[in-house]
Amino acid sequence: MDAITKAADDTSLLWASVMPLFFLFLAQGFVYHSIRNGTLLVWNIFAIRTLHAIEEETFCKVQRFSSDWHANAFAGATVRKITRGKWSFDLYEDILFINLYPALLVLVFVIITMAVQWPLMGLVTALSALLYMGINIYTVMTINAPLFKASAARDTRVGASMADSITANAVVKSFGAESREDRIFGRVMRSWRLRAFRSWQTAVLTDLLRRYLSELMGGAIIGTAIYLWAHGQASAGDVVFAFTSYMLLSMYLRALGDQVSNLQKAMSDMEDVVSFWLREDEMRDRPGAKALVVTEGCITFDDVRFIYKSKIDPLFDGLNVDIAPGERVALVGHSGSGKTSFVKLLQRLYDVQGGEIRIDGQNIAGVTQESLRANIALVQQEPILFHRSIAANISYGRPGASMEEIMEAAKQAYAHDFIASLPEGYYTLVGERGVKLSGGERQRVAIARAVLADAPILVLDEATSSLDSVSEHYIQKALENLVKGKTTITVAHRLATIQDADRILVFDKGRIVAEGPHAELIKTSPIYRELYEMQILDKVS
Amino acid sequence: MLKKVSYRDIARFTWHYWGRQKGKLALVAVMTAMGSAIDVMFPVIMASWWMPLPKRRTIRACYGRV
Repeated sequence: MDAITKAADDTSLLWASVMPLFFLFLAQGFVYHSIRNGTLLVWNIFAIRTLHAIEEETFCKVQRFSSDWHANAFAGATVRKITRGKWSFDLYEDILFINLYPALLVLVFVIITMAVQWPLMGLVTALSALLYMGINIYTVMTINAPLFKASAARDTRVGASMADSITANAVVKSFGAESREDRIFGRVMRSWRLRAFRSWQTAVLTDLLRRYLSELMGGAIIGTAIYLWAHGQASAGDVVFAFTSYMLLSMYLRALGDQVSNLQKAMSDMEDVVSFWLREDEMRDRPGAKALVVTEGCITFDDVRFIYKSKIDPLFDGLNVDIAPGERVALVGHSGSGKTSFVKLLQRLYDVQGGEIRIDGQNIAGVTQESLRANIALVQQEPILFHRSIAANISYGRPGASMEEIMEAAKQAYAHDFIASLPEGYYTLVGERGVKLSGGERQRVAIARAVLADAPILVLDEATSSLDSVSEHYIQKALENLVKGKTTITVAHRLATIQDADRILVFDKGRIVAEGPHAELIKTSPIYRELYEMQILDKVS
Repeated sequence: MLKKVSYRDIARFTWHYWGRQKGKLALVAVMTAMGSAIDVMFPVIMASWWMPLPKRRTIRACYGRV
């Protein structure tokens, strides 16, 4: 400014002062933008790798959380938490590195530059900037953040509610309950809208406060410069310097105010992913755990004590069971008697509090969970298939199996004919959780999967209980193929299907109250006889 | 202000991932500092470096113009 003022009187100064200023001004702009975008090129390499690692590792970790955890978590909400966590981290690191860090640097540089020339200006700038940032952070932390958090929680609930209804769409349709579900979802949405609206409106008001503060800061800096100028302690150029410095500073600081608010919101949204990262699952492999090696398939429950966390009394207390290699054992009993818990303990979905469970003499608590479960094939009552091709679902039991092996497994499971009749055969996509197939077809694909897995121990959560008689016939035949030469544990819901079992264990309140073959138990065990007669009566009625 | 985790946990989580690329992080930090320093040159270029004259003389000249 002073150079221009002087040059106006003396044109010889034009080339000496103003033009170098002009070219320096241009050069400064070009260099600044080149460095800035060069930084972003490097930043993108850095950020994309970080996001990749976060989402991939969170998925790996969540997959390995206990069955209890998954049973208590909404799948839709978990997916939403992971996805939101990833993008929140993206926002969070962008704010820190692209916005806050340069803003703080500029603030410090400007204050230093001012303080070198005019200590008073430096002091006024530093104080007003500190006041601005302090009030900013305070309002964000105490006013905006709790509202954003409430809004984010409602947003998660929206996702969970939607996933819950859509996943159970078949049930909704069967009850004609679409309107009821609409109303439930509507309530959740209204709750979200209220919270989100409050947080947005409050954000606008706190932003207005920030803008007023910014103006006051500008007033303090430029006012001080004018005061110094009026008292002969600063030139017109100094005032221009103060003014341009304030413009630069206010641009960064205004962004800083927004960014502190966004940073808090991003951190709130990251909480779930960070809590996943922090969570140490109770079901962990012991240090130095080895792979389970099954040679025969002998199972031993040795003085097992087990209590669910939510219960006071133990379910099993001193439970002893020996299952010989290749033996076919069925578990029967009233609901809650301990049949399913027995199987869950064998899979080590829970740890026992006393005693040991051994397979071929190896304590299952000391082997890797992955090797344990790879040696136990499970055919569930309601099998779950992946939304992948039938071939991919069958080969899930043995990755890398050839198409010939897949087809052979399907034949043994009596699934080949129906698969071959589909337009795309083994490449047919089965829909989410296998919804495009009937219950019996899903079951046979699941059995084919178990056939291909060829695990030495089989757990059948009675697969035929909810099927029609034709499907049941095929599945029984498929199971006969499947169980050959394997140690088999069947959780029985219908006693008619287990009469051929080598041994039946009758559970009552966590104890085995009787055991033996069907013909013997029907005479000796009142509980077994009662269960059997009740089912006969049900069938007759 | 966080409910499920602390700010320290967030910092640990951040460093858990950022710490794997320390070289790139340092490069970004240095380049950002250079960019900011050059940005701050704007008002300096505009008004400060190009004022070789003593302040009081310039003020007198300005008053004269007003």
